[in-house]
Amino acid sequence: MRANGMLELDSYRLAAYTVPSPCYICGGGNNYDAELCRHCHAPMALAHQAMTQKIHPRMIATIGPSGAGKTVYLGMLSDMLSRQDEALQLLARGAFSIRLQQHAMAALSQCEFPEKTPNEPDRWHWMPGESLIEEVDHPNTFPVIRAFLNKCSGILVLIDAPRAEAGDNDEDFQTMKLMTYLCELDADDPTGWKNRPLALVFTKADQCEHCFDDPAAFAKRHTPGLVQQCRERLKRYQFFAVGVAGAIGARNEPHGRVLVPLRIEPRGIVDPFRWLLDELDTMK
Amino acid sequence: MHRFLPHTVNHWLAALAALSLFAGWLTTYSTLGAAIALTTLCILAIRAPHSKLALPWSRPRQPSTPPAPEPPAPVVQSVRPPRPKKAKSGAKDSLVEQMVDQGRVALLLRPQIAANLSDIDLQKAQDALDNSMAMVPQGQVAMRPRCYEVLNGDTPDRAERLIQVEGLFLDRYAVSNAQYLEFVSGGGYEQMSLWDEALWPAVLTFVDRTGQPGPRFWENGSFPEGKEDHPVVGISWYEACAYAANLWSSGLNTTVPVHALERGASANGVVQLVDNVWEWTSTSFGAWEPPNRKIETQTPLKSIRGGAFDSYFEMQVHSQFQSGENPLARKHNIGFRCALGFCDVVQMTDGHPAHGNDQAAQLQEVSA
Repeated sequence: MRANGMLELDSYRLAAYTVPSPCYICGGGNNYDAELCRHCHAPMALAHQAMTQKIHPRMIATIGPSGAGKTVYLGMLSDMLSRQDEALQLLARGAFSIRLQQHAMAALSQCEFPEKTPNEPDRWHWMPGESLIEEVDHPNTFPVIRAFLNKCSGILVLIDAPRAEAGDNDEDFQTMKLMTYLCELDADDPTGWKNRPLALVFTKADQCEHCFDDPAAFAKRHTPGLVQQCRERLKRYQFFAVGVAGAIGARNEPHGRVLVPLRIEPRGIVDPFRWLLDELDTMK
Repeated sequence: MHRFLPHTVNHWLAALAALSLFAGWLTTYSTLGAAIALTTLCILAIRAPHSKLALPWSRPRQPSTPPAPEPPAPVVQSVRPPRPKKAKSGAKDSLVEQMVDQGRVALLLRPQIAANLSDIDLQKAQDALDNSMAMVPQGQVAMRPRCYEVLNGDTPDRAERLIQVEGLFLDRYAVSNAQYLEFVSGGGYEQMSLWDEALWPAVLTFVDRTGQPGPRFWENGSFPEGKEDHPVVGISWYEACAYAANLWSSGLNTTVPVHALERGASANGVVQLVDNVWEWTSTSFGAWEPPNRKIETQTPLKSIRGGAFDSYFEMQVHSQFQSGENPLARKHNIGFRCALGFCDVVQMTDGHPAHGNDQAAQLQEVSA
């Protein structure tokens, strides 16, 4: 048959095409062999895992205001977990996961920070902080964000520690808005965000060294509103401090002032993630 | 005449009591004289504990009261055994041996002091120096900009700059917790002469976790158990300088001991020049950067080199890579080692210190 330039008709394939495969995030129908959801661009691997292995994937979101360091943190976390040969390992499910790691590591190894994440709403897994803030300020602007956060089992909230220490109340307010958004998203008592674990991570803590000593005390002093929100609204939360660069400087480039890390020495990167997983295990 | 004058307040009071009794007996006011004498004696009794107080004019004359204890004489002055010297019996309490044990060999080998040492003591000090420090001959060193690897080969900024480095002795090992404890226990943080005057208020903030003077990660003025051989960390650039000044004065997931990783030692036996902990240098950060690639920082930084146990990329752990740090920072992965210029140490010729032109000639020979 092939010699005549004809393909066999796989009846099972035809049959599979007739059954829509729902996206795990948005629920939209897709072909069974689609890599990304055609509605929200979420990886269909999540849906396949849920269907074939009968295991519901547990998702953890990393959110934070623009410039909080989400790309650097996630890139470093994924690289550290993929290097480890311990119980906690990273196994990327798709090229897009590795792309983030590659993007961040390529820049950091040259003592540069990765370029700011472009605002491309068609790539939900590269969603910049501005989109999140937009959704928080005007709910349903980005339904995929809403759907995704609703499905998450836990969340890492990144907060820019040097900005908070410098008295930038904006950092406090933005994070408080995120918290209220989450709690209103799912207010059910047993399954809502009140009972889901939330790791509050102070990033760039290498620039305010004492943050490593006691992140909770740092939060109490510099983000009192956030601490108050946590105390009132959440049952499972903890503060962490992380740092990727040992020290930073700035260089004047033709397109403006660019921050550069003077060396790379990650600290505390895996701790919040491990804590979240432990908390999720205890919730079972 | 002066010697018969009373020298203390108490002597004056006693004399006044006797005089008033005598005057009262001579005149009809004996009661008044007795009262004055009695009052004076009472004052004398009250003042008894303060009997050391001498009158101003009597101080130069060495009063009978014992003198206040003087501060210990500088060790530098006392290291002067008479010449010709006989061989010491090797007593452990010999001042030279004490200084050698304390690692203050550099002070002993200063040309001014070495000239007054016995040959045996001098040899001991020289041996101790050879054991603890490696010689780095003078010569030219190529300094690269930090961004060397990413610059194009034909970019002028990529050019290496050759600088002349004087010969020096460099500690074979980074300074360990145990060594630093000696500095702390010896009152290093209280000897203000070791610190920059501008830094004096900040020295009070250089405390450990329990508020005692010492490195940041210590507790109760001592290092964590089992870490005596690990490099001291949590010290600022200024604390490193004070430690080095003290030597001159009279007075993997974590770090590994400073003696570990011997296989990575340099040809002249300096261990851990890379890895384990970053090390403070006296150079300012960015000194070798091309002007258009200068990195601006909020505060002037000091250059640190060598990488640390938690450095993530191997390409940032080599002799050419430098990073910077605020000289007041006291981080978990920055230590230091000491270096000593050739010119600061007496050079030996046939077991004897070389002098003047001989020493200069020998230095050139060594560095060649």
